[in-house]
Amino acid sequence: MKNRLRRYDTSVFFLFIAPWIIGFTLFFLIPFGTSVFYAFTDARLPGAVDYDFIGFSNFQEMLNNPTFGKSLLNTLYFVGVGVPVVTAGMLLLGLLLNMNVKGIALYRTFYYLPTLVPIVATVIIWRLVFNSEFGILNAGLSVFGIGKTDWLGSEGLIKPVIILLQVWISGSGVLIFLAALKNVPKHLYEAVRIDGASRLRAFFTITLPMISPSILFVVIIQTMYNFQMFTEALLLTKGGPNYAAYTFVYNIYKSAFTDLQFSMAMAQSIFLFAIISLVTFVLMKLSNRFVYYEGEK
Amino acid sequence: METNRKRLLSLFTLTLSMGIVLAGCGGGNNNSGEASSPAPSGSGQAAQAGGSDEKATITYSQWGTAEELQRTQELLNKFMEANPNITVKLEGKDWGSYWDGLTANAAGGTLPDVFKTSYAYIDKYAELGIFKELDGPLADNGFDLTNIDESLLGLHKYDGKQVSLPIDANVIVWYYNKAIFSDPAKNPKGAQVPSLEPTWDEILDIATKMTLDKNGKNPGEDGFDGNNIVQWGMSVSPGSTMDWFLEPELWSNGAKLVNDDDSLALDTPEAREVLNFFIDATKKQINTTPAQIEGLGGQVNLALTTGKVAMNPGGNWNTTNFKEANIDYGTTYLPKFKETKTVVQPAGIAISSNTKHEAAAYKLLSWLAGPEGQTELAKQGYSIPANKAASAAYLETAGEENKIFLDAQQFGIISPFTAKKTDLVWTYGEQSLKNPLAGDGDLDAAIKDLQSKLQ
Repeated sequence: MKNRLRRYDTSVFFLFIAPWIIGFTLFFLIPFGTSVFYAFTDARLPGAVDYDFIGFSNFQEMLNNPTFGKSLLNTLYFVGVGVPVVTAGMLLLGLLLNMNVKGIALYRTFYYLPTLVPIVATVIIWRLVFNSEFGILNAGLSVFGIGKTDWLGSEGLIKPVIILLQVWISGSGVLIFLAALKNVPKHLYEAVRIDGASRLRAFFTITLPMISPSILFVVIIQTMYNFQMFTEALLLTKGGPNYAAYTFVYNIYKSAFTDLQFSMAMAQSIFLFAIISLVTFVLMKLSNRFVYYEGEK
Repeated sequence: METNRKRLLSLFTLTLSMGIVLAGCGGGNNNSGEASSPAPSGSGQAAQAGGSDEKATITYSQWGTAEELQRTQELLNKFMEANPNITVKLEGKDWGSYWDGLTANAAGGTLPDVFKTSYAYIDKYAELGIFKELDGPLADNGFDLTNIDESLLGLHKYDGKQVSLPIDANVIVWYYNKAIFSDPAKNPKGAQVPSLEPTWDEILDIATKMTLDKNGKNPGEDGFDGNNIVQWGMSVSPGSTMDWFLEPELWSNGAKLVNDDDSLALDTPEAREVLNFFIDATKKQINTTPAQIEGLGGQVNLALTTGKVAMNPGGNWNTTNFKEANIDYGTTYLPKFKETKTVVQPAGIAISSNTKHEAAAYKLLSWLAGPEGQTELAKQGYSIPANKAASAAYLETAGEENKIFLDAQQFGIISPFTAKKTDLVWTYGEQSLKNPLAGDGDLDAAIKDLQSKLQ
């Protein structure tokens, strides 16, 4: 009887989890398996029937790609500089929107709105805003006597502009921080205030540790996103000028759709997958030291 | 609990192995993928145009603007009237996404039955085996190839085999906005419109007079305010239009874009002269910068439509855009350094190697490239038919003002596309040269960088 019940439980469990398993298999496992498979072949297209196994040649050849190094460095910049800046931006916005001022609900809506606009539309709006000739930004700056800046055409500025764009559309992260901030127990602040701590001190000793799980989550998600950055780079300046915004995924796209070398693109994807996995693993390991889980301690 | 965990693990292993096995089998049944040469077209029986009563729905895919697609739809309607058994569905995309889409279709085994091709991409896509070889069906059905220039046919061959048939021959010319020239407020110096076969000296002189700051001053004049230009004399962007503008201009000065061995040919005195000319014109603010072009809509060949630019290069297809924008335009040959040169870009149509409706697809292809379809195309007055059987119809419809598009073909350079040239023109060239050719950045370093990337 007990056994039968358990078997029933198990079948119900599998029944309920089946949609996820099917989706996971169809939309992740099979494509991923296909990519791994073709990465070791010389197939020009996925689904090719006439191909040879060439071992690790694609991985070796990948290093000779003229834009491989540059695209990897750019991507590392977007992760190394972009992720901290974007996360800090989200946290700052979260703190501002957590303040008790009149009409705060309206502000929260306004700050979340850009996230609802499709990224393609946002990028096109930014192209207009940042255009050095007719853009509203330079027009605004000229009021203060600041001369024209070529935001999108300058190698040094394009990456910061893209990072700023990420802060602009960071509503989801802000929302996560806002929820986390709301969950910090009020009595902790009261306690430190009685002890005479400043607001800054309270932020570092109470707020930051209490929301550290959310910070970890946002950092990991943003890291993965920035490693895979593509839309912004493609639509803003086609990866230019002079490859300044040429990201790793842009290079993968080029290998697949311009060079028509899908197996090479798949090898690069797997390389990227390995880097992202490694970085995520390191972040998770390091997190033990910095992240405070209230329930566990 | 232990059993559950084991089951979960085994389920996971099962799905993983299934994924890998399926990946191995993936596409096993589809022929769209690898084939180092065009797929032969069976016995030719299937492609016999006559006597086939097969009721079929086929897809035809092409790039183009909304107006161009509308005109193609009109052509297809005519075809369907003549062939009531065949329904053709038109799929249209813009130039950039068209090729990405075609690649994705080839990968997914979902190629359109018939699709438009460009001479620049024949080799590249033929290597993927997406084209049906046409020699057999063309011979079986007695298609008259003598009406199409051998040189045009040659550009649509792969490995000596016809894989695509040329349908129109686009050509690049120089446009000017007549309304700006005739308006004293916009042409205070009274600059004349360019002559039919202008030199760059002439164009530069006109462009200088037509470039105005907000006070009506020209570049070079005392007090010219470069930060507040309201009208530009010309808009060219050699760094991002290498295939259809920079290359013929290089040839015009006795230089080349690439050498016969596919290496970069920009480091010669003749080539440098051309590059420096455009750098100089942009620095003097007679020509638009890349940022200004972006702000004016992003396409140099459509700069005239903004009403803020007096002259720009463009293709014969751009007349549609100018008419849409109510621009009263005039045309000359591309300005020359020494000799007049231009680019002729023959587009074609092909049948996909895995079409299930070969007979219907062939019917459409032979209609579009044959006398009937080409005459209908010519009657629309926008495209220059590749089939000489339609030349008379073109001249009749297009009229004197468009005769230049036929005449300009004599100045066409013969410079086939190779994989490296494609890389140069569409991948590396714009990245490296766009800013330096606008006077912003180190040209020597850019040329060196390009040379290394093309090795």
